[in-house]
Amino acid sequence: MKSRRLALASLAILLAFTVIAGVHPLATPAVAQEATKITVKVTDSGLDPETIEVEQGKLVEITFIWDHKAYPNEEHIMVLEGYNVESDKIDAQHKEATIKIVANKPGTFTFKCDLECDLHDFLQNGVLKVKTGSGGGGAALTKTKISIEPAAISIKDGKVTVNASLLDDKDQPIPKGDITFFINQSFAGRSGLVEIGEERTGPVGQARFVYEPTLTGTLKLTAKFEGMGIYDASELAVDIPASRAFQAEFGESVLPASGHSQELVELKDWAPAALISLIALIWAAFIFILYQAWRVSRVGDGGPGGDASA
Amino acid sequence: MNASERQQRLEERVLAPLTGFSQTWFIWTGCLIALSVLGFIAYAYQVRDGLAVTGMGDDVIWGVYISNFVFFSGLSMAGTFISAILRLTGAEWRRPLTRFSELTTVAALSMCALMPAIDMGRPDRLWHLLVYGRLESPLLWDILVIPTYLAASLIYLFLFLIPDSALLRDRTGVRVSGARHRLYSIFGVRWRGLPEQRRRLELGGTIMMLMIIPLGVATHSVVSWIFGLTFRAGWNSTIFAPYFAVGALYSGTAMLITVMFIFRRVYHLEEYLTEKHFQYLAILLAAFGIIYLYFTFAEYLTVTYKLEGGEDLLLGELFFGRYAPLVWFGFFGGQLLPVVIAAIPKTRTIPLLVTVSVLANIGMWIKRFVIVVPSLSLPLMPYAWGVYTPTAAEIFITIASFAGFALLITIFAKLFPIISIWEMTEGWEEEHSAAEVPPAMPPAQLAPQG
Repeated sequence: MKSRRLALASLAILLAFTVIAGVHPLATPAVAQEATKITVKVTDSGLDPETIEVEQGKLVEITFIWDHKAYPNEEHIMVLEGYNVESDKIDAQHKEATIKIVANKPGTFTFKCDLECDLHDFLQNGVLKVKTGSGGGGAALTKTKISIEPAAISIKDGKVTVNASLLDDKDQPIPKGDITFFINQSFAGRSGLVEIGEERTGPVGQARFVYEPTLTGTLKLTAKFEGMGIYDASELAVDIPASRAFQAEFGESVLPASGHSQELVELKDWAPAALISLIALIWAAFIFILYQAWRVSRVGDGGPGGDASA
Repeated sequence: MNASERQQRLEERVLAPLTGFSQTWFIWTGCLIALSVLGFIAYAYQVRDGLAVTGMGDDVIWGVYISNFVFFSGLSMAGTFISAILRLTGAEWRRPLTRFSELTTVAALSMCALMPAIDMGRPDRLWHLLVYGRLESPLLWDILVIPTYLAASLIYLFLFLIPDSALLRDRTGVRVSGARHRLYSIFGVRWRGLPEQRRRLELGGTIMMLMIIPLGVATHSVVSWIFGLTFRAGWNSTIFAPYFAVGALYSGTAMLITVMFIFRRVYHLEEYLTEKHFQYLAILLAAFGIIYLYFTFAEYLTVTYKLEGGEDLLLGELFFGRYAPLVWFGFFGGQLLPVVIAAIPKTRTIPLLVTVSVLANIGMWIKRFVIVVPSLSLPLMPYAWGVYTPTAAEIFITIASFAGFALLITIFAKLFPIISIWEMTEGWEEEHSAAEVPPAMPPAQLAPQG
């Protein structure tokens, strides 16, 4: 009996582990999983091989090898579309560059040279096919975060400079990451993110973005990283103080931050509601008129005014 | 001839075309259907291959479809607007014209509403407009106001069609098919000309008359703001809304003259659509034309005087460049000549009036085209001018839209009286009542006979 209980308990624990594993099926950090390594030669006649296949969920390392004979001055930067990743430059001196991805998106993706080299047209046909996996384990994307410290925001001559850092889960900098900046803009009752620029992180994972606001007051700045290779997406919103450039130049007295313009903005906020109300009113009148036409057909049926002998 | 004899004569004349089908009618309708089908095939081709089959590109993003849209919206203005204004002011001469006006409005507005959908390329984008559209955009204002104006015009047409539909229900009998008889019964809403029925119809009609005038003005203002609220040379104008509204009245009046002339000839309505009606409409045409010329002058003077960046290039192209033949023809042939002919009593003859009315509408279509296309062709950056030439698909769809406009009028005129019988009779009875003492019986001319 005791051994039966023990067996049942073991089974329950095993079941619990299976369920947990099922929720997050054998996902392991990208760095912990063994990578599928692929080599692509960049030759005088094109890419070799042109097509590579990997299984979905695998950590993949693609190494591009400069292998020219007749074109010693060729240099290339290889990009893989769909995964937003690009290699370091390869040339006669630096012959190898590796990109890493977690192949989490199934489909066909192009890899190609992104420089205007002599062989440019021959180096546009690389294809990475990510086949839907058998349901086995997969590598997880490395978590990332964007950091903008208060000290990283400075204002001079009406321009706001923001230094955004892109870091991985071990606070290591991520270079070559594209960070897109937005401000939360509201107009006539609606609000949304309006893109105001994009910057790429340098070797220490920092992107410097300069913005010249055309609005006054405190603005909500959102920085977004859409993910790249083995890195997951992340975003951060911070408040930045803003004033018009000409205000900084001529002083606050020219146009106060909260003046008539603010009233106009508030007035515009009412516009959509007013428009919808007006249209609704017109349609209500249509219904009333059609009701009159319907009443015409009921006259004489004993309803109000329904005296057929009139 | 008393009112009842006059009514009988009018009924004979107006109802006769409804029951017979001539060979000419079949040929005319067949041609219109064929042209519409060709346009539909061109549209199917456009849906399959995308807007690449049109002459539009990433610089000139609007072409003949939007020109047609503005043109048809203009045609729609005059009809109901004129009908409502004349009814409200009690102008007696309106009576034979009102149905033409209302019909022209509905037919034009139906074609107008189709054009943005065709211009979008993929029809499912219309749904996106409703779901993702932003109310801040004049494009969405258009999407709201055009169906509203169309609904108003349909209701307006329907209301004043009720007594005539009841008349058809009671008079046509076995001379029409069962389906048509049912149609007349539905549109006749059991109308028997009872005082309570008249009261309710008058109430609904008066509200519609009061509503349709601001709605018409709003529609054409919104159409103008699609351009006027966009940063583009040639569109930066504060007077675009009234400019478009007056242009709409001008082209709509010209179309009314043309449509009336055709029906007068084909249906032999000379007794009812007299020279006097054409004379009055000519005066309206001249008045709207003069105001439109004034707006044109004011618009170009301010722009030409200031010559802001971009405007000088655009004006050069318009007046002396590749659009010059269109612009000058539009001005002289489409505006000046019709105004002169319509304004001088001696030249205000029906054939001349019809000729200049057609010219006025050709000129107004050209005017819409030169408002839309050259401004978009003008590069915003120091690049080459955009080039736009309508393709076969666009031309077929445009022809089909005009054929569709004519087809709607043709089919309506085969189903319903093109002259409002009850309004004509009402006028005669009022005339009779005023002449006799004591006054005649209250009008009950639409009670079923026999």
